[in-house]
Amino acid sequence: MRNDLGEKLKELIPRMRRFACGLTGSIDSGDELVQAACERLLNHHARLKPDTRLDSWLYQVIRNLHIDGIRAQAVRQRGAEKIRQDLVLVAGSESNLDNHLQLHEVQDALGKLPEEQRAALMLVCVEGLSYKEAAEVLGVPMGTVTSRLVRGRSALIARMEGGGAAPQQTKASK
Amino acid sequence: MKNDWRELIVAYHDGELGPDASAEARRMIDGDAEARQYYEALRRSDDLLHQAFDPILDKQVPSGIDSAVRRLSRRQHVSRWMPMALAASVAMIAVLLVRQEQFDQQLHEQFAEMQREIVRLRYQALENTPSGTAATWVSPSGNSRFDVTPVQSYRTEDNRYCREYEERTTDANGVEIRRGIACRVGKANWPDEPALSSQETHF
Repeated sequence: MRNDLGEKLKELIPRMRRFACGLTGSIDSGDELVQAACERLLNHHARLKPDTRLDSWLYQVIRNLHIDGIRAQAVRQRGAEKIRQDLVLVAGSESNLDNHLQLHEVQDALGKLPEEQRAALMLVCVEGLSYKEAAEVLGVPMGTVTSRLVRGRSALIARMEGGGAAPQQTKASK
Repeated sequence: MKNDWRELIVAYHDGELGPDASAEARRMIDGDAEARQYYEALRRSDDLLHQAFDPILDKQVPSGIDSAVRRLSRRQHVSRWMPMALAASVAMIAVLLVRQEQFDQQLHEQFAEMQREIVRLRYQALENTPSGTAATWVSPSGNSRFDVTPVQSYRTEDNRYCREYEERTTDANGVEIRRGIACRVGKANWPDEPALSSQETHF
């Protein structure tokens, strides 16, 4: 893993920014997390095991930094407005007004999910990790990832499609 | 599984099911309106999530992150090349030491060879060269020249045959002139190191 670590990190930065933005609800706050993760890598890279997957390691560090409360909740809340503006500006030339509104809604809906569901959704739905890979990053069994995904997605769909609460499952979720 | 139909549909959507479970999920989607609606909603929400967050992939990386990446690359570069540089330095020193040793050995051999030639020439001069005539040896490199000139010959009271001679060594350091007396020992036998009576050096 240590060979060309800088090059690998450079390639992963866009994905890490996307993940961090999804977690925090803000590009700026997400970038702060990514930068902090990079600094941690700078200080720890010599101690990484050769078989460590850099992407999994970074996802884990970013998520831990987020949970540890590096920034105050208030900062994250303020940033939530920025992300909507930034992303709409980027997608503006190709998207119609309805699509803009939908993007706002999905960002809002994601931001209202519990953190563990949001992290699972970002890792699997957006970052494309398998359940096994996501379970390793999150430090939970695969069954827990599955459960968080179902609850998170159901809540997201309920908010997007009907503006209401998530549909009730007949089986108790984890 | 009947109670966890959403879990089945979600796992199917994410490509996490084996062939049998996938077939079951597909049947459920095809045969049940609620399952189909949920599956379609999953696809739409995933599309929207990508539309919402994928634009970040193309946004310019902030300088703080970029700087951290470059610093890591530099450290990697240094840590990757430093052991090789150290190894190269050690190897170079080893080579230099070996070469120095070879050079010293070569010098030593050249010096020994020169000493042998001087003894041989002195012997030849004392034995065969008339007084006043020089016998000369020039080193293969042409940098050193050695002349032996018998000056005069005489017999001692105990009937030994002796010769006074002059040796002249010429090299890059200048000219060294030595004078000495050698007395034959037995028949045609001269000492390797005759006694020197004087020595002078000219630079």
